[in-house]
Amino acid sequence: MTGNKSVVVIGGGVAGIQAALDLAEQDFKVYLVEKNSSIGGRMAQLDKTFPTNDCSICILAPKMLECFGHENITVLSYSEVGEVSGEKGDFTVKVCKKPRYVDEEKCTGCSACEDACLLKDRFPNEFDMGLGKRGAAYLPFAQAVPRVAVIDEENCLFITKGKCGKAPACKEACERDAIDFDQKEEEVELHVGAIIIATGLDAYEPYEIEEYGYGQIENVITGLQYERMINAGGPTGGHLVRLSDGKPAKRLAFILCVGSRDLKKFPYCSSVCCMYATKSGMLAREHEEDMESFVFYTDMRAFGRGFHEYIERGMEEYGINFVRAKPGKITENDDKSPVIWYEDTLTGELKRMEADLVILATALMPSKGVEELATTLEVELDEYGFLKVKDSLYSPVDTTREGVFVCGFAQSPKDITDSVAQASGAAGRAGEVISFVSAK
Amino acid sequence: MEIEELIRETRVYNCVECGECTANCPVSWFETDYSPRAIAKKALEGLIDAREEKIWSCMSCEICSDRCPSEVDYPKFIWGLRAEALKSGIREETYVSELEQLFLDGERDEDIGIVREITAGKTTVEGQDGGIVTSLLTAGMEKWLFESSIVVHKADGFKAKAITTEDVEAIIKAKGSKYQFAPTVERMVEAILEGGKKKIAIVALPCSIYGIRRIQKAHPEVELYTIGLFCFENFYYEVLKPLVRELMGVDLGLADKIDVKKGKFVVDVGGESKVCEVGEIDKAVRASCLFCTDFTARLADISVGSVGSPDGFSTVIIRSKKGEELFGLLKGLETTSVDRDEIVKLVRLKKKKGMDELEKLGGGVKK
Repeated sequence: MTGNKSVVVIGGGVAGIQAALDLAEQDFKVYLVEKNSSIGGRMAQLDKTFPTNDCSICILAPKMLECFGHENITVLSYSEVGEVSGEKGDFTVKVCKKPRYVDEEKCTGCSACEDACLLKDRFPNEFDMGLGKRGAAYLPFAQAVPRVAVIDEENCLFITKGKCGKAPACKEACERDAIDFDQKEEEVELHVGAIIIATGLDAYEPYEIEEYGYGQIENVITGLQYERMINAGGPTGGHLVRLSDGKPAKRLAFILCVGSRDLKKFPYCSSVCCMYATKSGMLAREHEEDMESFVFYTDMRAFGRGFHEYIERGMEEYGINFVRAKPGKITENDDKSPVIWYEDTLTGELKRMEADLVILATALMPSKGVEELATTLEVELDEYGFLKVKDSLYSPVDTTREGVFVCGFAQSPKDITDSVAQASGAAGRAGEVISFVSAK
Repeated sequence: MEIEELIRETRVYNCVECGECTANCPVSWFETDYSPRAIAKKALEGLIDAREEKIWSCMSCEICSDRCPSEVDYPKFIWGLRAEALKSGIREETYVSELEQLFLDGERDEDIGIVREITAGKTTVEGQDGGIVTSLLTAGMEKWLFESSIVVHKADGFKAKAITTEDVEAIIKAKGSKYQFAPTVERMVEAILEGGKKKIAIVALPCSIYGIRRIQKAHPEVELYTIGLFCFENFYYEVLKPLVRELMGVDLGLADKIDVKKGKFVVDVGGESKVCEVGEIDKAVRASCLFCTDFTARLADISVGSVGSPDGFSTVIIRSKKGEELFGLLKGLETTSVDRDEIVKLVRLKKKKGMDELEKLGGGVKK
């Protein structure tokens, strides 16, 4: 078979990074395509990982850098897959590189443009799940790879109005002359033998679950927002605060299965929330001695190795209160404290509890845009929008198209450990395909 | 229907015992031994007895099934148990008359319930018919009979939403029938449990008034003025809206007024009236309405509706001293006589329909 001894990996989260590194180490050429301006994915947003409570970015950042610096890997950030043709062993993949209006070669990530931007701190920061603010010229986050600024073309004054001060403020501030408003969308054509999909997840934003008040009650946030809040590099510098008044949050309530395990919304289990809620309760207590945590659960699904023990530690060493209840609703007190209305299903008692912050562990779902990607790649999705595999027992990383593989959350809900393991599996299968290809 | 079949049909097997139903059940907060989750559990354990008194606690607000993540149809499950209870000789009347004795004061009319006075009235306020409900609320607020009112207003188009308000403007804006169920009783639960409010007026459908009275029984310190609305049936907005578009080619969300009169469903939109047969929108009827037997809100202090009055007037049934006190506040009231037979006709029809449906549901129960 003639074709190409290279692979394109779509998605630069921990699964995509792992698959890319595995293949690159075997001396295959890899193109890592990431739609955001930095690789790192969801794991880069997390504060700590369970069940070891290791610093998430400390584990991931070296891998991100290794990936970026690897001689066999080309990272195409801020890029999306456009068209795909050909077949196993010989695919042509067209990748659209969006203009970031910053020269990747020249930019050092010094953040002078960020500070100079006239719209500094005006827009919700996506990386901080809207809790922090950014300008129109900004660095996605401190450990971003590539560490290159990006200009938001929907908001930038110069791009939208043709005028920004006397000269574009960012351009004036940049000592390296890296700002380039002439950048255009670029198309890159790749010739590869195999494709790996590692597009990860998005978190459900529970606005439509009116009874939980998300978007209405200020002190009701989501699990990912909590991760950013407790992170030292996050918008509050790692302090847990009530969003209504900025006062310290001392009493936390985590509500599990919000939208998930719900036949009307996301019928499947997101698989990580029982664990991350426990982790969050532990971390809160590590931050402050007098922190109280309550985890409202339907069933504790602590199925992995060491998981059950982890939850017991949470109870015994960290004093986390586990309450068997799916709350009915959340209302707001006069002082803006959320009040949780629930039935303790172990005793049958109806109770109300006041908290400083309510954290909704919302359903995790296939990342937005995966449907379009599946159409482009001509692969099938399952009923929930995850990539369908040929056989979940025998070929758990093979999609319905030959030569196209999948790993991580894109295939089904799973934690970091399982995502990484599956990524290595997908890399193995992709390697198998291209090993037998003789270069054109 | 055998209990096992009822369990299957209403998907009680799906229950994961999360308790979201009970946490949302307005009655459960006051009748501590009533819990949809616990009843489901009992049923699954084979321990349910339809003659159990607890099944009469349900007010069919459907909040439990609406929020159940497992799609368990509790209201129908409860109706099924009730159907079986009725077969074994239990009378629904028992549960209603106990509440009538507690809260109402008047002569008993076999069809219309407890009555002190019945009249057709009209005020200068613009409303669905005679503007009576709006006038009662504004008059009561002005005279400090109550501090706040729980009413249903329109949100996102014509969707009914229950609100608690102390604002007369908001009450006036809430005028007009919505023909949908909105959980007014939830607002009442909040008002009682969150404290503060002790004098409340509430406008609600017959089913809600039943639940409200059960709650009031547990909280006699709350001074309530209940205004019940005549109700033959209500509709699910989510089903009705597309249906109206299909049948009449109009957006229900833009309607100025909707009305059900003499078997017709009328939507006024943009100065035009669109009409269809009520039968054509049958599939949008709220499930619990099929089994309900109360047309005139028998447990309210005052019941108001259009049936029995000439155009532009509302029929008013005063059932308690409180109702009389409130009605006495109305100014500029014009009255005329009521066609009692017309009301009785609908009371009987509603009762028959409800009992027939219950019988159908209970059909084939093995004794």
